[in-house]
Amino acid sequence: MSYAIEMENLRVSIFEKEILKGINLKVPEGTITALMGPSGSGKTTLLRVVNRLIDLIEGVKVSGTVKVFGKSIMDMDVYDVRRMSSMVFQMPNPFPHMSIYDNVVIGARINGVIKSKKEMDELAKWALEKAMLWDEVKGRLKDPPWRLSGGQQQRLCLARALALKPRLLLLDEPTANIDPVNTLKIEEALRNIRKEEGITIFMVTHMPQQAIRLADYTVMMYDGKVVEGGPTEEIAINPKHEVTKRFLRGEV
Amino acid sequence: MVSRKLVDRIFTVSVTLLALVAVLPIFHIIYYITIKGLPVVLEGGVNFFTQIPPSPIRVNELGGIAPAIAGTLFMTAVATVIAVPIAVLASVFSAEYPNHNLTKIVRATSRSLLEVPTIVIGIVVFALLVMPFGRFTAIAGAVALAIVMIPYVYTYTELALLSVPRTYIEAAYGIGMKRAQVIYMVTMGVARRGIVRGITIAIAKAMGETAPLLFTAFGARNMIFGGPLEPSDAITLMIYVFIQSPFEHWHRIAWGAAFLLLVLYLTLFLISRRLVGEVRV
Amino acid sequence: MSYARVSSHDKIVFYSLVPPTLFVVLILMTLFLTQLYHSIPIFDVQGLLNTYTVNRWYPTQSPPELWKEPHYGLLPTIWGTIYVSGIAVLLALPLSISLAVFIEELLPRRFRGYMSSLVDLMAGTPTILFGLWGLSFLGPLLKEFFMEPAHEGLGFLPIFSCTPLSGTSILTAGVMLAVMIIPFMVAVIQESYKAIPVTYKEAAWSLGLTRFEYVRLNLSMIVPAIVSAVLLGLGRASSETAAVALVVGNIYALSFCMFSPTHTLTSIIAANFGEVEMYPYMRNALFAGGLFLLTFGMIINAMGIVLLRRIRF
Repeated sequence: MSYAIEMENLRVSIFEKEILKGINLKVPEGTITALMGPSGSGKTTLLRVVNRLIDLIEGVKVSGTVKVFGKSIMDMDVYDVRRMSSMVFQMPNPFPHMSIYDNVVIGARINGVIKSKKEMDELAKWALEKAMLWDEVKGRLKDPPWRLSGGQQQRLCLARALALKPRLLLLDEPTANIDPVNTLKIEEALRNIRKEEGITIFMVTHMPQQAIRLADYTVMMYDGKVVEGGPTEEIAINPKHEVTKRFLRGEV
Repeated sequence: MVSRKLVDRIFTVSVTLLALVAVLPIFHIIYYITIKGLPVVLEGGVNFFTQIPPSPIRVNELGGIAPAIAGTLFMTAVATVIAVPIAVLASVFSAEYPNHNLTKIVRATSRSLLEVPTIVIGIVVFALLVMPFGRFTAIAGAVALAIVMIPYVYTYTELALLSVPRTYIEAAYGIGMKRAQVIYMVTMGVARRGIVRGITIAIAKAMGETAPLLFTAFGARNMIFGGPLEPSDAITLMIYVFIQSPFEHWHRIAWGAAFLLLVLYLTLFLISRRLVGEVRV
Repeated sequence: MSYARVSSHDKIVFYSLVPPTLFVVLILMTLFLTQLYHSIPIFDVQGLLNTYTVNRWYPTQSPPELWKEPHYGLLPTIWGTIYVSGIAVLLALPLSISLAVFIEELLPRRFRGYMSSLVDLMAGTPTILFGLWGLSFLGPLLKEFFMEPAHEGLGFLPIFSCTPLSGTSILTAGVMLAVMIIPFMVAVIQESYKAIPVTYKEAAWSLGLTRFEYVRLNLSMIVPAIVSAVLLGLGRASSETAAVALVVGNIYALSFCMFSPTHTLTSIIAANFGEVEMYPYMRNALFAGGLFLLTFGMIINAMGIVLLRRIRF
């Protein structure tokens, strides 16, 4: 089995306060893996180590080994690391000064890989279809994103992330602020992406139901450490750790 | 024993009165300049904008303030071209590296530059760009105006950049954009209205300054525009010189020019007002 | 970032942004150094202290070896600047506080935007327009309705003791500058006033204070801001040139009477800088004046900023 993400003794502290206290984790390639835990457990921090977005935080110190698709990301140029994955955030954040179309293709445009308008149009259509947004916006691609509803904006962000054709998709509680209908749409989109494109999906979620619906594997975090991890079915039916049991019961 | 209520009443009335006294002058100034300047402009008609001013002896002619308009346009434009890149890049630095020592220094510098008497800017530019070459030039005037503009553009641009919600910057990095791309395509893109507003305010400021031009551009009214390496007039400069002259018809021209300046300023002001608040973040 | 090397792209971005930033700092240094450089000749000839403390302005073409005493003394202009700015701030302060309080407490919410815009409008108005207004309207108005009656009735007071001859005087300049600096002082006071935490305001209301008592309490919490506004106003008033040169009378004289014309540091530079060809060293003296303006302006501003930082709620 090959792994999309491998972490060994990862420790992260921000201004001397330890957030991650020795993480050991393996995320298999081509799967949907859910990362769960009560607030303050460090899941967002862990996610942001993968694309080194935590570099942007003042006073952060990282130690340990993190490999993405076999490459150690601590030694690499940070921008090469970030191009291995694509991230969707908790609050929909399409670039407000760009049209829907431009939002989707901006990543590809910058990389310079795609040059012709025709190819770019095809890419936009593909990404929006995968994000299950194409039908709703195909007539108004030049519109600014604030005309879309919250759920549509988040699907736009998903399309924007997909347009880069990443091997790894990182999501930080993507449906936390989205209505139930859009939540299910996004979940369906993620399922299709994993099945049809083989993209590895690593997502933070605070809804156990979502993990059960979507994820092949689940990792449970508490207080900066991984307390349990494995196939979702096993964890759901037979949780071993106290925190996992309480979390599944909705108590934490 | 004066009741608290009475004191309160007196307070309310006094504060209101004093506040109105505080804003009354600007209304009166606008009114006064209009009634003294508009008739002159109307009398001169289009010529007022296209002709050169009459010589002191031709007391019945109105002529025009074309040299002043040309000079102001040229010098303001050149000043903008000089000031904006420098100030914007400096503010990008400050926004990207807010804790760097250089940022603290340049912020303090900008605040000081805002307060520097503009005559000081004028005589220093004189010492550096006029004295060594022995001539007053429009370029020297433009440089002086650029120095006036830089702190305004810097302050407003830095503010606009720092106001960009962090989530957009994270989103940009999250899809693999590099720092330069994030700065110039996303941060500045989201902040662009605020930046343009800062530039507009700086232009209005430069257009309305007199002192920096006194000994750099100096003034010239024999032709409409002599070129960047010749002395140049400006609307403010012409007003300043003409109103102090002993010639009645020159006084009238000064009022006409003042009215034009007022209109230009109010227009720029309204534009800058409209520019804030349309990019919905 | 402790663990990884900085991306080369980031390094390029950083180093490309440093030069323009340094350039801005360089500008301020150049303003200072250039004036210092050009002041040194006159300091050499008549002494630094004398340049600022002597009450004598006698442009001369004779070489410095023949000078028996200093020829270019800036004292009256420094005094003129202080006097004019002092009047301006004295008048502007109560008006500014009132306007700030009016906007924050008395004005219905929907008009606040317009009022703020109005204040901004005042702040950016080309100063020469104030000068024109001051020369043509304010001066004669003050002369007829204040200066002449005051001189008549209270002429025994030194500040009113001279005969008002025209509208151009210290007083006119002071009043005009007061109008010009109000928007800046309002901005400083208003910002601090707005920043007073709501909890204090709520506590005051719940004590049943009248509006007057409540405002007085608030103002007492932001006294440093008010002092800072005063310093800022002084700075602004002392640096204005064109408008002041039109209304202050442009006469070299040290006077205590506010109806007399005078020179300020800015107006003497504006008036005389062009004529220096005939008189060597006069230009240097004027640069010395500019140096003084720059230095003291920066000190006053620094004090103002430090004060603003002292506000703790």
